[in-house]
Amino acid sequence: MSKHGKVVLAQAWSSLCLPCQEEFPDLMRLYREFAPHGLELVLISADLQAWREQARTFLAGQGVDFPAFSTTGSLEAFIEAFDPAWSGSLPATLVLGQNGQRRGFWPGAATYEEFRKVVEPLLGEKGPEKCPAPLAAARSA
Amino acid sequence: MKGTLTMLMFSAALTSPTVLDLGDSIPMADVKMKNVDGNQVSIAQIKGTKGTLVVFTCNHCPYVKAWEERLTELANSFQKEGIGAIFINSNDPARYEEDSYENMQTRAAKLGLEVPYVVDATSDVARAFGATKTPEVFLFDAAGKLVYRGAVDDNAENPAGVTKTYLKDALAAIAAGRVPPLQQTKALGCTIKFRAKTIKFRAKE
Repeated sequence: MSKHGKVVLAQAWSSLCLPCQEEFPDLMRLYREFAPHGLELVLISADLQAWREQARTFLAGQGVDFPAFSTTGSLEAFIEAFDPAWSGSLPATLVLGQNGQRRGFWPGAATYEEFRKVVEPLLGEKGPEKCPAPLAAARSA
Repeated sequence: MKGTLTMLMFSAALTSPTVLDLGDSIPMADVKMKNVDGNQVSIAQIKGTKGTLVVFTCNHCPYVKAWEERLTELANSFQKEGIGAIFINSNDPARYEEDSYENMQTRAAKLGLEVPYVVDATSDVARAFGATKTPEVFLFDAAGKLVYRGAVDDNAENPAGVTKTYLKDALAAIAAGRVPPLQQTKALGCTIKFRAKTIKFRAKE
């Protein structure tokens, strides 16, 4: 999942999970705003097979125009791999810094502002002199 | 300083609630909760002679819907073997109308649930257990000590495809006075939508 030089938000979600549905627009807003500055969004659907068509429809409706993923095999194994301390509550978001190291884990839904407070400093770790102008402007706002 | 503050806030946001450990006693056992039959019920009242099953559940969650018939069958059948059971809805119905009391009554009747299905009106019972999602299962032995927590089985999607009947095995074990063969498992579920924490102020005397 490491994307060298990128800050990665990897989110486990389900199309039928109401908190996931509510959070999604904020997540996409964050992605659209910060992708040009190095944010990568990895969406991992934990939908059961019977729900996957609905998941595809949901993603299309949210304007997801990049590859998204689905779990395969044991969901218990997926939970352990995603974060051993995770109870399995959806949604959940794993945060990786630019060097691919885990920088945090966020169980439950979050808002745009909550995500932004996490992502912005990690993107800024390149150093202020390399910080893109739009991001610098956002920071000072 | 701003960066430090931001990261501190991040750390706080990432703090997980404290979940009950194996061997812990049943928290908030005497708190009365409104059952779908209109009566007030506490966990202490439904304790079985051989054990107690506490299930955090709801109406809206698709993972609950996937497992609810299996959960109902287990709760109903093991109640007859001395294991008391209670289903608890801690979700805020203001957020999810499907989780309203009236819909709980409908759901319990449709499922043929023979154990209480109650409203955790403050969500504090879920907080005390450290429950984070629905469905989530906590099983206590005859002494009221936690002996199993986690999943119903290993296949939400297909009952016929289940290879590991975690909860059934744990229930059978404590019904026989034994320790469950596996005491902690995990499964996906919907995050509990907790009611806002209310703070009571007392006027200075």
